[in-house]
Amino acid sequence: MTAKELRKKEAEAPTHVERSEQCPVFVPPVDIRESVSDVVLLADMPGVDENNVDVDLEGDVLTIRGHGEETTPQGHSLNYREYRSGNYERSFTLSRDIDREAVTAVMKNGVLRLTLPKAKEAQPKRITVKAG
Amino acid sequence: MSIRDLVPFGREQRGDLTTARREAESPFARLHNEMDRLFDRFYTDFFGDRGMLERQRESGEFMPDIDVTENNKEIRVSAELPGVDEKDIDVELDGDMLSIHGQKREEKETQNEQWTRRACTYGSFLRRIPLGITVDESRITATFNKGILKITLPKLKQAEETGKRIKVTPG
Repeated sequence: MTAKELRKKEAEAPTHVERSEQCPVFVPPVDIRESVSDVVLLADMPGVDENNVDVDLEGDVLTIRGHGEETTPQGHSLNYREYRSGNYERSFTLSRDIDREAVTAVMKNGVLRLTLPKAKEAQPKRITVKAG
Repeated sequence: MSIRDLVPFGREQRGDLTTARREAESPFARLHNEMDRLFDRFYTDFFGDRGMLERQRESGEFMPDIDVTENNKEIRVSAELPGVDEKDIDVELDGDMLSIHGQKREEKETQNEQWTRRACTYGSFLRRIPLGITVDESRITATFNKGILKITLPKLKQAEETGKRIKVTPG
């Protein structure tokens, strides 16, 4: 295995789950950005489109799963490999500030973009001071 | 290679900035990476630009991973380019050297935002892939879908024929 293959970090199988598929499962790299009103999560999942990605929210745990496609075409032999195709999986624990009903997900060019708006109560408020 | 390179600890003194960009790794994973890098140096590479490639990767810039497959009719090069727009990808062929270059743009940050975690990499990239044979330039196709670029390079007729089976007859 080369260092490059390691760039796509393989997910550890959770102890209570037995994987039924033989293909590797990767942990997608993510960027998380926070502003006063929301949290934006970007996950690189090349080979996945909007039809084979799942975003599940169970309690406080948000799980993203993507099903990648096989890259070696039928009848081709592999000459050089830096990446392997496989599935993606990663979980996050959400804080109480996130408005669970308003989470949106967009998939474009192999990048999943999740927008997690903060609940109104958690957003900072400015109170206008009137002249009395 | 100096003996210091063989010691996997404390060899790279990364600045704060680079460390912040990378995800926290367990010491074991770091050792594993380090060992792999060490092995990589021992083996001469299929591609000459590995040294530069690794340096660029270590610096946290975006560099796509590629796969090369072939059959007797064509060579196929695929590259993982998540988050890159097809307008930002250029594919060129010069002789038998295939170049993929482009840019992975980072979204503009607004002022009152802060990064909680950064692991995705951005920036411009260039990969050069020596094909070793001449291909039919007029029939090359490239498609970009789901963040994966696929370039199909049909082999020239005579190159195809070199793989032809020769019948052995009793003499």
